[in-house]
Amino acid sequence: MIAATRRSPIARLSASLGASVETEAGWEIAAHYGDEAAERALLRDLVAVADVTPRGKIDLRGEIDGGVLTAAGEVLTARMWDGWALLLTEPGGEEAVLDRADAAAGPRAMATDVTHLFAGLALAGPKLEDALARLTSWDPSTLAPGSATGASIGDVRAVLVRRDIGIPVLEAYVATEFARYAWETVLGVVRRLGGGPAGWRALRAEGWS
Amino acid sequence: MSGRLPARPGEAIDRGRPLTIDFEGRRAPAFEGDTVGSALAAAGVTITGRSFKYHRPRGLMCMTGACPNCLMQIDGIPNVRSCTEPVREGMRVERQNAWPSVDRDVHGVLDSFSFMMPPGFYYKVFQRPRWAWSKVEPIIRKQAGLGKVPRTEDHEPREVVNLHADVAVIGGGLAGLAAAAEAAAAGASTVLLEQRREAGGRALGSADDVDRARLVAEAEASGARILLGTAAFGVFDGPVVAAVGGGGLQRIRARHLVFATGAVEQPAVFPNNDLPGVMLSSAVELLVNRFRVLPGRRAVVLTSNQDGYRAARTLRDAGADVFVVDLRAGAGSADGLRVIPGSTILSAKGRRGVTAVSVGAPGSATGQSIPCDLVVLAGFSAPSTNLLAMTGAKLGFDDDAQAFLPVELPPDVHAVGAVAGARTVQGAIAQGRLAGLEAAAAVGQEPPGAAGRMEVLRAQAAERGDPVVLPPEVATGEGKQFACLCMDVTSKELKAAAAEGFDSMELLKRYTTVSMGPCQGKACMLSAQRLCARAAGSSFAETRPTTARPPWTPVELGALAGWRRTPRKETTIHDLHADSGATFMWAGDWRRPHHFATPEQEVEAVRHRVGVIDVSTLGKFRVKGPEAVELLERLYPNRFGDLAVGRVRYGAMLNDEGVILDDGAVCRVGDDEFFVTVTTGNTAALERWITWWLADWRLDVRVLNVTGAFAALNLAGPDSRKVMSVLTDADVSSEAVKYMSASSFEVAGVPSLVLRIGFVGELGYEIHFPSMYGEHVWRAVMEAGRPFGIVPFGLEAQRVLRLEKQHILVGQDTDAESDPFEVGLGWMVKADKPDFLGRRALEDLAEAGPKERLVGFTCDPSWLPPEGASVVHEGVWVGRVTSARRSAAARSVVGLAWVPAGWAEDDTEIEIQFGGAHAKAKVALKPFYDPEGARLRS
Repeated sequence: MIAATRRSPIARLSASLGASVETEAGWEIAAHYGDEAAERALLRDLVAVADVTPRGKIDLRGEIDGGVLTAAGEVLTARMWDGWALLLTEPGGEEAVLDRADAAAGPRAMATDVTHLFAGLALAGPKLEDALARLTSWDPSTLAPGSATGASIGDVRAVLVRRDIGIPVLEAYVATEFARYAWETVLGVVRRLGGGPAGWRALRAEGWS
Repeated sequence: MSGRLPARPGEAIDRGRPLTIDFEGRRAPAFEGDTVGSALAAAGVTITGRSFKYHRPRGLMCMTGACPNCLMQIDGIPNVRSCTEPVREGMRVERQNAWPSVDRDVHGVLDSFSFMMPPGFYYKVFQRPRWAWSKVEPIIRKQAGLGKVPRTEDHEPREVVNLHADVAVIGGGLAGLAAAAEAAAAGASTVLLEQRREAGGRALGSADDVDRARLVAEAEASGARILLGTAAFGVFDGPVVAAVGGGGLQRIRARHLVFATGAVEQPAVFPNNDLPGVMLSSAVELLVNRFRVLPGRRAVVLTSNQDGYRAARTLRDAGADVFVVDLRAGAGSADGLRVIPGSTILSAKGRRGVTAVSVGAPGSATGQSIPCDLVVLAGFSAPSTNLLAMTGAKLGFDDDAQAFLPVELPPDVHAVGAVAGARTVQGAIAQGRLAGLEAAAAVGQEPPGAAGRMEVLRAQAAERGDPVVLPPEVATGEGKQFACLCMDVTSKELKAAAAEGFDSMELLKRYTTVSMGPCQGKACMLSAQRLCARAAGSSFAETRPTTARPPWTPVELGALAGWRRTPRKETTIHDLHADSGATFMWAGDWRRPHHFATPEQEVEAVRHRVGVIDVSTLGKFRVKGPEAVELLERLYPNRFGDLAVGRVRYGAMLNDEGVILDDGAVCRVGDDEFFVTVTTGNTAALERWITWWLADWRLDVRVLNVTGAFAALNLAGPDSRKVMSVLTDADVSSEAVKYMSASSFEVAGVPSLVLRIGFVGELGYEIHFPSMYGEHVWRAVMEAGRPFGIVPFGLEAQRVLRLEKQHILVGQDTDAESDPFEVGLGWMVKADKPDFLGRRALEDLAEAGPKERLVGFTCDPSWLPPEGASVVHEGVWVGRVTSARRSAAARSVVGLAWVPAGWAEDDTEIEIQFGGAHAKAKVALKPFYDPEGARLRS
């Protein structure tokens, strides 16, 4: 039997763009698209999109107190509202976070591993606002770095997480079944603005984690 | 009229950058900065098109895109406003709506037969005999019209861009620039939309560019986002301002809207007022001062205010011979100009262009003839209130302005400049600055000292200017007097329509089509309102304009469509299906394999060996919490409190009327946790349904839609257990993994939840596993199944297989009235349970008994009844077919149909009809295949 490997639904589309695949935490990830320096330049000067589906993702519902979030450990917390939070980790980190969150959650909260429920796209670069203007009617200026909301992107629902790592970043988590459509749509907009795809290496080199 | 005037500061053209355009096969020179209209005017082209109905020659009139006279086919795109379209090297320009050419249009003969074509003539003639209209209509459509839409789809899709701001200023004239500059300088995020490619509005044509240049610089320095070439065409709820520009559609959402949409200069109505050479003063000033083209050598200017004198001076200074005809009796000679006071233009003369006008006192029968090649109409304007009115602003008649002006504005909406009645430059600018400051303050950006400044500005903004004097509604001379240039509607026709009873603006518009053409009333509303009032015996003040509706400016359908986005759902195994040659179909939002080989081959494999279908599309919910059982007991008529952990139960959700909403499997995976599947197409609706009831019931339970988190495969067929045993180390015997059980074990090394259920009626396993392992597990299953002849199967085979078992598809076999008793699911209704959704309705239904029943039927395979075919009895419709397929197992057509309840007996004969075809069929209440379910349970 072939070893079980997790593959983003976008993997085939990335491969067609020349993605070089590496394995990390049981995931195939698009490390780069042939020129990491060029991808970094896009991130710094224009806008690029990366497939960050392999991120670990834990959904917390119900009565979520600070104790649960603290217990979850080092995660990026997308707090949608009082009764809903999405905890984001590095690839493969979801099991440990789930265990900790589950233990701390208590009976009136539910922690679920939703790593496979959402595909993730990271849009980053100074032209992020221009890209979003073409992808959503939601006003991105209402979302401060570090906060999250639910809104549509490319006409599909998404969890949007705003970050600032020196360059503006928006992580969009869409239902897995929409992943390929969302990637094509977002990449189409990014390309019209002069940007393109970026791999994990470039993204991490710019400070993303 | 040809050639260019000497260069002057502030001209729009760059003489150092000459261009050439292709004008109907000829090379026409132009300069960078020209519009097509200005370049053609410089080249001596006076006839820019032919009119819509009578094919009369028309020439440049407005130079602002506000009239229909210069619509041309440019690079294949019809109806481009050539007066505002910038030139590009090599662009192909053709005039339109003429044959064989605009200069020699044989359809011009229609002008002599206009008496046969009054408004609405097509409602009255050619209607008898009935076939006549079908013959005549294409001819009329061909004669009357605009450009030709290209057949080929050779244009790039347009972008849709969403913008957000504190303040949006619509209109980049002086008032708009002032508003944007103040709002942005105060710290409010501000966007300004200007339809032209330069800001400045009416001041663009002015010889004195000081105010415009200063305000443009101020607005640019303020940080306002200035979108030139962006025309707002509608205001929608939100409010959302929709605009075209920047290559597509712009949707602007702002907390405050400042309307600085100005006013549109209007033509006067007199005989032959449409001749080439009759122009508006704003157009003349633009041509002379910006494009350096002299539109006529001998000009007559009709006016009643300083706009006309300014235009007259502009022409005179450029070398033209100018007469001013002033409507005001007291007007005297000014600045050395020759003035004829107390007069108007009684008529214009000419065939292919104006050659003379008759000037006299209003209402007089004869007048003084003045030879001329240019008639300038100056100072008669209609405020552009349409966009403002779309916000809900109320308009009222203003005697001084002789126009309808805003008298009541919605909160957060401002009107400034000419649209608000300002008739002086300084008054308009003050209004703009005041609105900018007020809007900024309202969003929390009030600069220091703003209150004092606003006080001063309020006083300045109150300055309105001289009262407006309009020309007579009609003149007395001979010739057509056009009220609506777009649709060729004359004053006489409006009068006739009013006499027929169409005596309000709304009725006149619909009957005569006045204001319904490309200009959407910009160049005719003033005339039409006044003529309507005259014809109806009312006053102008009583004759309100028609309801303002989008689009205020023309919009390409492509811009409204934007990029063609069709969100689609695909499973994580989609690529492998494509690799296998699957033919895909839409199933709701999903792309699913319809078949791989042939459906018949796939059915055969499942019935005799093993097959696998990707059912990842099934809706899936995680339900967890101390009151999870209680939630399910209320949502379903089934009982779930007694469902053991590790067991599965089939259930159907009902609405409060007892109607079946959905069906699926409910698996108990823990004491207080369930895994629930629902049908593919209902997932989102059911998520809303459950969430809504959960909020109402306030149960201690959480529900999460985990549809995409799990891929799912249905491995089915007599050999499916053998394949499973290759895929897992777990014991998959019938004792270990019983029918209707839910077991957790690894499949192909991936943690999975395996349900022993079978929609297709064979021994089967529904394997749910984390979706990103989709390709891995699918490959593993195919590899494990190869020795057993496994095949992938698609939806079509699944439909045949389930129909052989009489398994219903909710939504396909049921409708908005189907209850469990009618479809044979009465067994699941547990009347002894506490309350559940639909209970009361079901009690009534149970008492009354079903009127219809969903039953199986078989018929001869020579004809396959389509879904929706009628079930008839003695020629009367009594039911319908919901599903039917040819079945190899049953050696016949098998299907499901609604029939009267009394007919729900085995072997009852029914007749099925569709179109001309019909067939005898027999009711069959038991499944056509394995009726006892032995294979399923094996």
